[in-house]
Amino acid sequence: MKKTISILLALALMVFAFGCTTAEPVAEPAPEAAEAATEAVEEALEEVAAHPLAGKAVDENGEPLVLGYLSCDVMNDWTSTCQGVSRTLWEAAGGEVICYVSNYDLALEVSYMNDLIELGVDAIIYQCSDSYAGAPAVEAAKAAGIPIITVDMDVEGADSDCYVHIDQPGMGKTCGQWIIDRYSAENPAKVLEIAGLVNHSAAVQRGGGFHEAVDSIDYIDVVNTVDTGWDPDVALNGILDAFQANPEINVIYSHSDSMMPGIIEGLRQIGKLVPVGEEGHIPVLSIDCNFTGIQAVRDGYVDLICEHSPQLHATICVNVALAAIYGQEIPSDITITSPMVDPSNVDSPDRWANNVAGEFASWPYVQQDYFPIPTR
Amino acid sequence: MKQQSILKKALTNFSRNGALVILVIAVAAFAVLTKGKNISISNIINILTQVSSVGIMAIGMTMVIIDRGIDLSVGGVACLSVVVAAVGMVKIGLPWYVCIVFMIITGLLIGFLNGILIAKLKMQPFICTMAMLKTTQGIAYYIMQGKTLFGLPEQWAFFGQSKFLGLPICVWLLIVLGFIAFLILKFSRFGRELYAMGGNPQAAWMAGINVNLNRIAAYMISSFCATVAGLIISSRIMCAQTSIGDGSELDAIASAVIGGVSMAGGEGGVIGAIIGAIIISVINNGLNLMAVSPYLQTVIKGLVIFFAVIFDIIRRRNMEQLKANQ
Repeated sequence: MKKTISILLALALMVFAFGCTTAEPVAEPAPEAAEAATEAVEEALEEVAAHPLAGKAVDENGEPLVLGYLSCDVMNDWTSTCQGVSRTLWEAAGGEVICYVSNYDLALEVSYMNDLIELGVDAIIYQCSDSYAGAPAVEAAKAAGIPIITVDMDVEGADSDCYVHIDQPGMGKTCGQWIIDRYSAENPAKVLEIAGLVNHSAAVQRGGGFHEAVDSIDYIDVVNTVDTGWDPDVALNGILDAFQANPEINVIYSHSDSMMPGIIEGLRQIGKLVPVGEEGHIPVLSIDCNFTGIQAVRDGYVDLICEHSPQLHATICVNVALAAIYGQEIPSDITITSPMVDPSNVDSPDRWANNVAGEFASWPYVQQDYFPIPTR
Repeated sequence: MKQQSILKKALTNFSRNGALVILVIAVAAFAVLTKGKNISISNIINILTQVSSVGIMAIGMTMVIIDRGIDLSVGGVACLSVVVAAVGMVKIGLPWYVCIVFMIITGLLIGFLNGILIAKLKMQPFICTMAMLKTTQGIAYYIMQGKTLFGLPEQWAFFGQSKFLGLPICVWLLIVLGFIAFLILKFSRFGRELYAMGGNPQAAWMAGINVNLNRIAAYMISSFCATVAGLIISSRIMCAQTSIGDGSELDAIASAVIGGVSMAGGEGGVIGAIIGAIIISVINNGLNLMAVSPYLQTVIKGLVIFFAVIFDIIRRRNMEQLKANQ
């Protein structure tokens, strides 16, 4: 043991000595290189200044405003994108961001909220685990006088300062209406519903809106609802099971694109993956239009997706948070209307999933009319 | 008197093959309820395909539970190993077979770490593997950043979608791994020692069994099985996602327990665990075929596990009583 330690010490000394003796003196940069570097810095500064939000998240003393972002998870591309875009925008505005992720632990969510309050953040964007259980966290922020904006999912039993969300039941209704318009008593629809997580509010609302639209229609029969827990592997099993029992299923409605890989592979495995427009095609309708979903539309297997853009949500939330910090009046509810994505508009640059995943700094700034960039 | 002895024998046999009896009852019940749809050849293959990943995880879990341990990290191992392979194939462009090697190495390393921490540092298996679950999932989340990785090579579909002699490759993997594990537990020294360790760890140690080495091996086997399960899942959906393996540890444990593997250690086997996994899948499939409300499905699945554990307790008491009478 002593021997080993001696050898290690000797080696460490040798490395240290080598490092000391071979260190090159720092060379003066060549004048051309210095010029190029200065230009690059100036360009970068110009780019920052050109951002529509530049300087917005800085207080009167030039200190950065701090945004707290509390998210239920960063596992799926919606939540990670909403968080990533919010962070990128806030930082482009000159502010600082503190992000916490609760991983669907509601107790942890309340603790993190208290941590953000303790840190004295200037505003909080909160995407809660579930509508029915986030009230204590919102109440804590409100009690501390910090503006809190809930995103995507509202909180039952407590009012945030502003709730930025899409019309969740509306997306389900849109998918339902699509079926109503294309089927009839002569050509009845047998629908397989691929549900998210049965007790999750997004799944409840998306499913609720859909059922509200189709349940009273005689020629539409939802033959099976498969609970997947948002898991594509479970969705795949559900597809295989459902077609065993009901081979006559001729429409699939999915609560989210999260399950799309399972749906596509499931249809492929039972020999029913036929592109739109060809005989034997089973229409697939979905929600989110994420990276998976948009590819499935582009590949020609999915007929309609109601877009649920995290980029748009994040852009609005950042504007609302700034306005709240400036002491301006903000609406208590901003409801986003979901655009319908089909093969005709899948390649539009307006689709959030046409950007490079994760590289938020390269995403174009979204111009939107829901809530403009505030001025002080 | 004679009648009583026949009844006793029947009870004993029932106790020994409890999982099989539950399976037969479940299949028969669903056959009636679904008008025979669940016993069509295509549906049986469908069930076996669905059961393959959880069944393989249950094989590894059985080894660990026999040794009075538990491995909560299997879901994380499945997820991380798939992520490692997918990044290798899609981002770096490595050949698929090289990535399988990396996958297996990842799985074995995690199993080795679990084993070392539990055997050498005497960490509680529950805590240690739970921490490993969080760590491995966390690494996978960090690498994936919420994204789904597509573009896996066509060959990747072989494990989850190709067939050999009418059965999917993933089912063959389950059969082969199950058979090997059965042989190991039944006829190898390692298997016998594992049962001895689970039955009475103190006595096993005093009998000169290398408890630490066997324990590390058990956790490595469990992680290896989880890696193979991850391979099958990703091959079935042809992408890598962080949801892969999520919650599967509970399915694997439930399969083992329903299959007669005692949580107290030293009892049970892989065949029972695989049957346990099939029971869960038969119930899932049957409820889906019947289009039972998803809310009710959760209740039914919970009740089945609940009764299976009660059945296991009664069965063990019965066996102990029979042994005492003999």
